[in-house]
Amino acid sequence: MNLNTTPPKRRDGIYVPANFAAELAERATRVAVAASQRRMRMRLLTWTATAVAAVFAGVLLNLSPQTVPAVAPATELTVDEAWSALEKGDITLTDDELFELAELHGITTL
Amino acid sequence: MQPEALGDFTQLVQRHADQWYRVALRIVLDHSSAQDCVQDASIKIWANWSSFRGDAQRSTWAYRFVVNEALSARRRSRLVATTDPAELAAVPDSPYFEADAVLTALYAAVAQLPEQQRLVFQFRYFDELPYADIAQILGTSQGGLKANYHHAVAKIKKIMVGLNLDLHSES
Repeated sequence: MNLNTTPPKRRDGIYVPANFAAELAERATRVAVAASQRRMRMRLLTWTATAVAAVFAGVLLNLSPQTVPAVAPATELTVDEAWSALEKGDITLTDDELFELAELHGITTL
Repeated sequence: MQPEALGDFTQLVQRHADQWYRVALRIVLDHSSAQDCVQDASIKIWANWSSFRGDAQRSTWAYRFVVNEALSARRRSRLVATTDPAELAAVPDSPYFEADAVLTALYAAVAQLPEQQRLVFQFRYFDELPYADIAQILGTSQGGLKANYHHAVAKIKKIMVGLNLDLHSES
């Protein structure tokens, strides 16, 4: 029976006890696996964020024109509409404005 | 990664952790730095596990990560001026290192070698690795390694003879 627990003699003078080597191996394995899992989680997070951003961008780009809130076109009042409004009494004009409108409408005499 | 791969990785680390520590310690010369090197190398070995092409033994492939990690750590520590007598003496600072006068002188002589010669000498003389494995670990040709080892031994002999000590020589 070999009762000698001293690690074998090495030329480099380094004697690594079996329990230290086992602890080092266990720690190294644990750290390596944890780092790998962390890397996978980061990769998953990155992919998820990228996918969400891509879907969001796709939805924005593919929105149909009907669903996009339309900007109301600027309304432009024609001379005839202004004259009708004046005849109905919807608006009141100063003398100068009335004269200008009459001129635009080609009314030269009353 | 598959559970089978994790099992193989765990087995590899268990089988080689002491040797990786030994290699790292001889390069960085510090007990805790050597442990860090083994851990950091293990992280890289596992991260690159699936990229192993099978053109060498898995253990030889893994050695390379340990050596590279230790060399990087050594370069980083060299950037900081040291007053640590253990490092100045080029002898490992570890509770698991014991050396007599001859071995201490040998380490001091090895420390005077260029990096490549130092590594080749350590792998060949201390670990008794075949040139083919050392070539895989260091990524160089066997011919270059033999030349490096020859020069290393010649220089060490010269230094040791000057100290009136004897070194077991190897061809």
